Amino acid sequence: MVLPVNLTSTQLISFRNINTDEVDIYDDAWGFASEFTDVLDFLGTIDAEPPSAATEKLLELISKKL
Amino acid sequence: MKKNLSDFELIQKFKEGEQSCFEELIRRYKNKVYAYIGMYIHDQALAEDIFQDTFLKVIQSVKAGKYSDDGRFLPWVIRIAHNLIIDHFRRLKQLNVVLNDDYESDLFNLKSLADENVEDSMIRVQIRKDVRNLIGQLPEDQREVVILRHYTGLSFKEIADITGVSINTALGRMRYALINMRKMMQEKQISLTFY
Repeated sequence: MVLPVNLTSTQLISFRNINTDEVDIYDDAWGFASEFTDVLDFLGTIDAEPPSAATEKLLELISKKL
Repeated sequence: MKKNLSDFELIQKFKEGEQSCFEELIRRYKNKVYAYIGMYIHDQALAEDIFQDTFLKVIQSVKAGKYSDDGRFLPWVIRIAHNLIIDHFRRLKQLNVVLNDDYESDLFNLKSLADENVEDSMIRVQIRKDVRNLIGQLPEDQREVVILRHYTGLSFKEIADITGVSINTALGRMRYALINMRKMMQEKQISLTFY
């Protein structure tokens, strides 16, 4: 028995269904993430967060200014 | 609720007088802006000053109607931070100040250090120093792309706009930077498993 093509083949997804919100297509196309995992992981060991006091002081300054 | 609003909507509401909308923008981007500044300014107190000045300048410009939204709020803020950093180095040059990096205090995640034991803290400080040294040894054009891409999360299109080069050039610089850093890591025998 021959089944209709759409029942036996892989379902295609449309371009609209591909979520690229958080993806930089250029980065993806050049394959940095897969080729330089070691270097990128090393860079990722530091993550900067301003001390909460600095943010609080900034919000205070803004309140005064406005 | 405000978390669901776009940058543009937050700025509009801020212009209409809702101060809390600007606070949401700060919350959204403070880490990226601070990371960018921290890669160039190693003194923590100074980095905090520039961080605050950046957002104050942003407010000034928004209020003066100098911000025209094209969906690029963060790149615009980064550009303001960049100009303030340049101003700082220009002032130092005029004063003939010699920088001494040994003096730098650790800028990154001091809060987390408080929860660690001394040995872990020392290792973390060393890692940060290594990362910063590695980036610091790159040629300026490569360093800028790495910082903008990795620490501020800008797209290559945005990086190309900020640095005034084509997207392909920005991508090429990133590639060379990564190759160079890998080489330096191998020469200095740095690897994550070492830590």
